[in-house]
Amino acid sequence: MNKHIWIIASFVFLFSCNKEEVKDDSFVLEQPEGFPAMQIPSDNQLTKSRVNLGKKLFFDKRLSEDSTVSCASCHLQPMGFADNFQISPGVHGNLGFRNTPTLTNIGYAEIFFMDGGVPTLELQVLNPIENPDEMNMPVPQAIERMAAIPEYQQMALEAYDRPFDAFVLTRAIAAYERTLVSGNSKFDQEVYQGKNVFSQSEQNGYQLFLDKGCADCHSGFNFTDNDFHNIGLYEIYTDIGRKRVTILDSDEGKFKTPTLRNVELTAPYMHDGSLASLEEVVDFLNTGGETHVNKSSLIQPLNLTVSEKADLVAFLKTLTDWDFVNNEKHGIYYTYE
Amino acid sequence: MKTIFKTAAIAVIGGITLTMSSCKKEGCMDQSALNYNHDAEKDNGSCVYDEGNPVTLNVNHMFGGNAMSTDSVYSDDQGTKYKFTRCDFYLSNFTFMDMDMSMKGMTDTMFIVKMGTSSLNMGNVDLTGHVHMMNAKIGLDSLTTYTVDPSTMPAGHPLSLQVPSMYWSWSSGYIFFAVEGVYDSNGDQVIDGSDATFEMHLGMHQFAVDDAFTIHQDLEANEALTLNLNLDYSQLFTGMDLANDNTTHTMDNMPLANALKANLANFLSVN
Ligand code: HEC
Ligand code: HEC
Repeated sequence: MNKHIWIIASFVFLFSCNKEEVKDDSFVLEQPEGFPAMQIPSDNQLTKSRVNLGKKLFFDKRLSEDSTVSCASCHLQPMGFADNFQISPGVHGNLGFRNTPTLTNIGYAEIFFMDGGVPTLELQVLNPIENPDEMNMPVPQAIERMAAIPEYQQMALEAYDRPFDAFVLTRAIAAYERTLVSGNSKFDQEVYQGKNVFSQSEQNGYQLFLDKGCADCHSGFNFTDNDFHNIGLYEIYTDIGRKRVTILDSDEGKFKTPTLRNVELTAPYMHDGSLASLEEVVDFLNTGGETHVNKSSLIQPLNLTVSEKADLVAFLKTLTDWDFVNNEKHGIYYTYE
Repeated sequence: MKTIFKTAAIAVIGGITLTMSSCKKEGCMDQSALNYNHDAEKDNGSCVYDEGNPVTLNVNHMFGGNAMSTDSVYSDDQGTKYKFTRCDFYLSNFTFMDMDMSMKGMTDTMFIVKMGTSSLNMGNVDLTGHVHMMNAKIGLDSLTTYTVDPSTMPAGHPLSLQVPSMYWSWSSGYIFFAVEGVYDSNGDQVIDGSDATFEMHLGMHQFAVDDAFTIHQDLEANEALTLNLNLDYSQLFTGMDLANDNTTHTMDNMPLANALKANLANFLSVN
């Protein structure tokens, strides 16, 4: 009887609609030691063909008005998927008003943009394409342009079983972004992998990071609480931060806590790129910040000595993951097969 | 041996039928049916049609007593001259009420009304008998505004991505009402390329405007209901000073957004 079932099963298989030879499209996302499983929407589970398509789009300048700017123009792998401009130029050299953040572990973020205006990674894709200071293309026009490229049509059908459209565009780029997982920094090796790699200075810095309240906001495996805080960077904020989307005075000057992974590579710092180096950031935090009604009570003068400041900076640099930055799989020349 | 042969034969036949039926999707193939299935390749006679009263709104774009034109130059309350270049808005949540204010009928149909829109076809709503009022929302309900992802909507649907955009990509949610134009920013009394633009975009659930219109008509079964939807653009900027306050994306200029919202109550009328 068992034999008969097998025969029937193989016939059903042979005659099934899927004419292509069956290739394994499943994508196994790396989950570093100490990391939780990533929450991935059910309509956009990772597959190789989705990630390949998203990567191609991420690097494609044709998504911008004059085909000069891609996502990768501002989010560069060697700089932890950020860049080193204070404000990155978009099409025609247009300048926005915020510093480009890292996309390291962006698949773990719970809310997007520094003011938290966008709830999903898929929806986030719409903004840079439409933003006049970035790529300046109405999304329907961008789709028309990309859908006319036969290779994209074919990849869309393979990846999502539908023609290239807004769904495919947003899902594919988000799928690629979710693969940007970084969890093999010196910090990971020391703390999660149990290797003894920290120098004395780095160890001291880590202790200061825990003792001085940094880890209250830059918390957990990804060094963020996914929440918004005013850290007293200014007495008067020209960029009002989260208030921009909530209109609440109590949100003025609050910004999303950034991850600190690969932070060494993403200078300059803060929402406006106003602090040039990690030393400047630590000097600023050491002062306890400017006076502001919304300033977090966790930001206080720290009374750090010169060597403690150096230790804290040394610790922040242990969050650099060279394997991630040099991983050719994240680059445009690699195709998942 | 014999049984294996038999099984194989059954399997071949089974395989072929499976292939045939699984490859040709069945469903309703008539686009005017309620359950039209655009994936269907074979009509299986399952179409269900909408019975009821076809409702149409003829849209009249007016400025006071005259037809509104994008070529005309208008003046605000302070005498600042301006022209319109764009006015797009959502109309949704249509409900129809009986004399005693109980709900008679409703439709999920929604529209984007643009300056070039001349009529809105709502499809069939069962309204036989007396129709006393029609309610409609300028904008969208909050569930739609905040939970619909426009990239999942089919092209052509009012909630899909539009050009110009009706969706805020920086603060996810739909734009309910967008009015744009050029005003005499240099005070030379003519509107030309040297003048600046104004741009007012309303969104966020508290900026949806619920409107109610008296209809007072008796309808036979399946009889058409045709109404005039009059838009009076002269109402939009009442009390405003375009030369000094002319741009809002709602959150960045709440006072102006509130002023525009208040004026919307007088923008629409139905007869
Ligand atoms: C001109 C430079 C530029 C380009 C091009 C650009 N970005 Fe960004 N990106 C930024 C800036 C600046 C921000 C921060 C904006 C904010 O928070 O208000 C950002 C933020 C993001 C974020 C949110 C990060 C977070 O932590 O919330 C994601 C995700 C992102 N970009 C992905 C993309 C994708 C995908 C593309 C291409 C479709 C792209 N970016 C193109 C500059 C750019
Ligand atoms: C109250 C929560 C909070 C505490 C405590 C805190 N931070 Fe932050 N940190 C933030 C927020 C929010 C930002 C972003 C502020 C902005 O962009 O204006 C930030 C930015 C930074 C940046 C710049 C990152 C970038 O990519 O621009 C560094 C580095 C940093 N913090 C390190 C530290 C260290 C070290 C400590 C402890 C001495 C610390 N933080 C304490 C919330 C906090």
